[in-house]
Amino acid sequence: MSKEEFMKMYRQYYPLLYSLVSEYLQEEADRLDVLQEVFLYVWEHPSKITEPVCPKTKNYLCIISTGRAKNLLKRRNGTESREVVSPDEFFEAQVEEKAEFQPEQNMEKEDTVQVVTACIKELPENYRECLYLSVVEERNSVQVAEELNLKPAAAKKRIQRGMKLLRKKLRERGYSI
Amino acid sequence: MRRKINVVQKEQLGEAFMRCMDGWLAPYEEKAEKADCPDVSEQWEAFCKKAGIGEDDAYAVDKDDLAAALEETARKRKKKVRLIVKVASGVAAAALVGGVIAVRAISRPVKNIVWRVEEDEKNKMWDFYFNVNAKGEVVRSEDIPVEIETKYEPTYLPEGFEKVREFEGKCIRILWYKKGGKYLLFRQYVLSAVFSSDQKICLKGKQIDINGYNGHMESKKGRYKVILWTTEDYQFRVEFDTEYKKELLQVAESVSEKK
Repeated sequence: MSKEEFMKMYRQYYPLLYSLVSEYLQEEADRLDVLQEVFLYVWEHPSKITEPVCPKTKNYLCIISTGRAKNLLKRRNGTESREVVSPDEFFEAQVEEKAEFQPEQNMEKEDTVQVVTACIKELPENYRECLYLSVVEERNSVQVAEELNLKPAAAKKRIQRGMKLLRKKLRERGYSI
Repeated sequence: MRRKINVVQKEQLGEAFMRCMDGWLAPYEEKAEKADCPDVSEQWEAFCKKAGIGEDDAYAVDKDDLAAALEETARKRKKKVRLIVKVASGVAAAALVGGVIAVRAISRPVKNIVWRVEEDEKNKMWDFYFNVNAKGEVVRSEDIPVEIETKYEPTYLPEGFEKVREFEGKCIRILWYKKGGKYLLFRQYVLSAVFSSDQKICLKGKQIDINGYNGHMESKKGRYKVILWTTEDYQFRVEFDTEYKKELLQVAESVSEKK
């Protein structure tokens, strides 16, 4: 990835990422540090990005930014309570909202994606992040751990538990992976 | 009624995750436009400084690729070293195995030859002592006395020699004669009791005749002369100082049954 391409990506997603990490980190310096850390990681690992500006890159940057922000928060304020707007709450609300408006006569394929989406949204955030990297980005547990600043064992557990929970939720709705 | 199970395809799962992300990030994207975000250009400059990105056309190189390349080089080098070590070990092992096989291959027949020679020698001695007497007559084992029944003694002794000690066992009898610091020894064995290295030495010596029986004369440790002869029932040995060679023969010839 060239400097120009990287700059394009940086300028495109920096405000979004800043907004995202602001939900977790109170201190301005922490937010900037985390974002610098994330972009530095991507600069040193350009192969992780397929295209500088695309939905996948956006999601990937968001996932590793929130992961690192949460880790920093955990390290710094282990005991400090911080009111974070959890994406889980947002998803829960969205699932209920969507359930009301879902027409049952949708195409089967569309139905399946909607059901799976609903199930994923019900997953705890930690599991969802790891599963996203594992399923969409096709990373192994070691790579997930590296990208989210986790211990490999923790990443592996989250992927396993996340997948188990997702399977359970899908089974309840008559689906299987 | 059995419930229908729908299998979720990998693409569907990926699509669902992407939708999730869209839904999750939508409010943050709205916020990002309104939020008091620091100047991106300033942040970019700071980032370039931190990452060491210069004014020139820099290019991001994957650290993992570099590490992988270095690892690959190291692996190839290790492989080469391992190959050399393996070849060297193989050659050494082959040489060692070859050497062992060669030694074994040679040692076995050599051992067999030595064993056969020894066995032949033993058999000859056995024949000499037990199966064939000094006159060349075959002696039957049942005729050989197992205990000393008839006692023999030298009737002639050099001047000044006197019997100083006597030992009598079941199958051996030894007499010691002494004069000053010199000794004369007389031994009588039943044939079943003879077979020692002494006899081997004696057999190598000069062949002599003692009263019609074949005998041998040999030096023992360079200090003594030994005369050994075998009759139908016993073997006799006389040991004397080397300087009394002539007297030794007379002593041997004088050995007769004790009356």
